Amino acid sequence: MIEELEYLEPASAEEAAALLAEYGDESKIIAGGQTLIPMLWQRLVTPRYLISIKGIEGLGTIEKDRQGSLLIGACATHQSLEKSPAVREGWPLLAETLQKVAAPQIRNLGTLAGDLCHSDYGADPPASLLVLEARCRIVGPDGDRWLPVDNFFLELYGTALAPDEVLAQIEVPAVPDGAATAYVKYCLRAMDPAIVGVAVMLSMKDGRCQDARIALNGASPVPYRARLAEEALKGWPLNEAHVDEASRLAQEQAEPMSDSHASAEYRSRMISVFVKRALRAAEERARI
Amino acid sequence: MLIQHKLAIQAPLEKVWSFFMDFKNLGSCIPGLNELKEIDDRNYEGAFRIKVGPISANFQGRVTIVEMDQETYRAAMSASAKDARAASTLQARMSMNMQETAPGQTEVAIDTDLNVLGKLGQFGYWIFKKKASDVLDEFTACVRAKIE
Amino acid sequence: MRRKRVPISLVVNGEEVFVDIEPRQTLLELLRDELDLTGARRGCEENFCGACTVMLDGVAVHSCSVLALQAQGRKVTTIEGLATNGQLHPLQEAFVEHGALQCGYCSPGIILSALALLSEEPRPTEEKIRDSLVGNTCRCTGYVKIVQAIQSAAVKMEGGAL
Repeated sequence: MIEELEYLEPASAEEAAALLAEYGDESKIIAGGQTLIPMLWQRLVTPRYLISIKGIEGLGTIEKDRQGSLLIGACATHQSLEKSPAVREGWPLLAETLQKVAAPQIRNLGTLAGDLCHSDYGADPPASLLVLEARCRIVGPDGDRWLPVDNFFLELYGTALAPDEVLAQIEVPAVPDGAATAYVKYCLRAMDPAIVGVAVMLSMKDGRCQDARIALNGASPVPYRARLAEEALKGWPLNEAHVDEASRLAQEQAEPMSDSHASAEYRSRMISVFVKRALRAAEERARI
Repeated sequence: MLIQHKLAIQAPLEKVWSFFMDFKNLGSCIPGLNELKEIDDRNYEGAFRIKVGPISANFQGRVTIVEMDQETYRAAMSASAKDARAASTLQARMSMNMQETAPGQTEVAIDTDLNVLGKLGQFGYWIFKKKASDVLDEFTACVRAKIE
Repeated sequence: MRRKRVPISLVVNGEEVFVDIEPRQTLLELLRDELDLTGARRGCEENFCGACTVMLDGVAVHSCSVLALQAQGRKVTTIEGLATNGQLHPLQEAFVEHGALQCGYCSPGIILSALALLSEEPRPTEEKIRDSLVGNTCRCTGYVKIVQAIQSAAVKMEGGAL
């Protein structure tokens, strides 16, 4: 472990941002610590100051606003979201996805916001949040700004957060009436990050696809919406030809990489397999 | 992993060769290179920093010029550098050759065989290739600004 | 070199504990190095293997990835807190009866994960049991007897004693 550490406990997200501005490279935000603490142990990062946002009032809440959107505070854990009756009822895609994140011990403490800030391509929530068209509320020394999740992930371990900004809240709009969703994850061992994870939202009418949203994580350095694949499905029944075409387009859009879990080529092939499975899973739910 | 890079420089071959053979010149164009100290005419010591998100590593090590052929405009070097805190080692063999592609235009080809050992080796090689590519792009821009 | 220490208090296995720790110490180090509770093990220290699993305010956590500071004012249960008056906990008994351990390195962590599960779901399905053990790695047993032991303990525990 690193030598000297100071644990700071600001009373608000704005104060936390101010501390980040003051200590710069020597500081890191900590909430659940499920990614940060192992990194501290391995000395991959060596901050002098840990800025804890865990106790900040209002950051741990999960609630609905008047528009029916879900508001997730930065300190809401995966477990609290997964178990929330409001989430299970209104955003089953999120509940389904979060159950697949890591392991219970990690979900008990780790926060969804922390997961997003780490920006590791194998994480499970991004694809679902992209499909749900979520937004991030970011707090800096000069105030708040909103950013669509679409623009949040820039590269491996790199997000759109400035060095003195804190992700304070995630807003998830209500799921369109009648839309069916699914998240399928491919990984080798139970706790592993996704080699390919596909989230899908389908709106079907009279056997034809009215609207489709498809997003992938694990497959490319940055999670992405497979918009060409989505366009290819609109207006068509989900027969084999169209599903195959959509999965091919989703695969083409990826820039798969090789790592210790899978080679780029294998990843690429698994994209088509799992896009098809996700589409089938959502379609079945649409029929119910 | 093999990283191949080409630089097109608007300058005659001789001028480019002289520039490259002065290690201080090269050193000043490498982003992340913090230190380059000559030990003898074939050996240099240096410190090199790379950053992936919040993870940064400071590699200290040695570069040895293995080949330098004025006749064929070829050079080769080997480098080895360690970051004790990140428990990792970088090993590289680089070969470089240049040729005049048109009067006053030189193409330099740099081939690097890079190995990352230890803890940082857990990251896929694609991230190192990407970083190397970023470094080489910046290097190219700097060299061109200085020579052209 | 004398490093700065911070006093914290927490409840461990039902007893209030006062201890000075370094901000950089993890809950695992606090338990093992300061309190001599060595049932929680160092397996990987990369938040993967679960050999360090303890219960924190009733839920299973990897103690290697919790800062000791973060345990301030909270309740921790380790394997040492399960037996009462020398009588093994039904989970511990079931592990012995079913041969659900070989080297035993993962066992405290697994038993505590199981305890956390059973406090929430007294009659879990096999699938649920296996899901709850995703964060615990066992290299010896192949998990079959572990699952059987947990199922058997669940039956015993439903009688009342937790």
